Amino acid sequence: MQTPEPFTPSRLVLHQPRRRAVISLTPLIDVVFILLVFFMLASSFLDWRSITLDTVLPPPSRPKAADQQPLLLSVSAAQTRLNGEVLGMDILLPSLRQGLDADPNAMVRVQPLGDTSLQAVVAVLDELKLAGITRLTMVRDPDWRVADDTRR
Amino acid sequence: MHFETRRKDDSEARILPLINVVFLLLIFFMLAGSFGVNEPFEVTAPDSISETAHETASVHILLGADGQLALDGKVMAEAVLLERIKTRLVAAPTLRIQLKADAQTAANRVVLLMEGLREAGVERLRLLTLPSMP
Repeated sequence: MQTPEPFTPSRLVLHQPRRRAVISLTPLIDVVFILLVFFMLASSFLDWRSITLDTVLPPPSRPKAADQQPLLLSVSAAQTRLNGEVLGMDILLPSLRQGLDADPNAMVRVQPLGDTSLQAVVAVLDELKLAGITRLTMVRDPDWRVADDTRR
Repeated sequence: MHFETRRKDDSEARILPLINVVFLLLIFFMLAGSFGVNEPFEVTAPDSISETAHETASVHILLGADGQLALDGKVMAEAVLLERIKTRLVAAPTLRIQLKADAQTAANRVVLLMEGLREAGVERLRLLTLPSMP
């Protein structure tokens, strides 16, 4: 302020071009780093897919005698059975398709046996889907009982 | 004085590429990632070859390997869960529900839950899966 007039402009002219960043970059970098770490930890890259299990069909008024229904596909971890007969998937698929073609209202009933894991059933559902069989429904094993601690 | 300012400018110029990379990473994670949902217990979805893309649904049910159930992140008993869903169905009859069940759950447990949901009036249900690892 008290500097003599001739000095001030010359100082400004000298220093202006060199001082490019008026704000220091360091706090900005800090914030960007924090944001980066946040997004890295908070985001997930899982590729979710889904299987449609619409519960519209079959209507609840359907006869309950599940074992007498044709095209009952029982699944356990080790084997698959069509209407109680142990068959491999490759033999099963043609007869399933035949049954479906014969009756336009028929549905494949997929029934997990006992404590079969969901993974095993999903694998069978995948194979059915690959074979083009879409009219299917899930039925419960009548002999299966839920363990006591799982229905709290 | 003159020498000092020169050095400061230099150090700032040297970290500029680093900042560029960090910015790029930040933008990548912001755009490509989706937020993981906090879940009250661990659930491993079954592997499947299903190609059906996942759609966001309004109701999210979790079924753990030990049979624990959770609705939208809150652990609750099956009866309470079905009751809540019934209440929501009154407001929105075509409610989309997604079920994330553990791969090791008994499949009959899932079917039992599906029967419960059907009785509650649910029509649209999707089972979440992950693409199988080669």
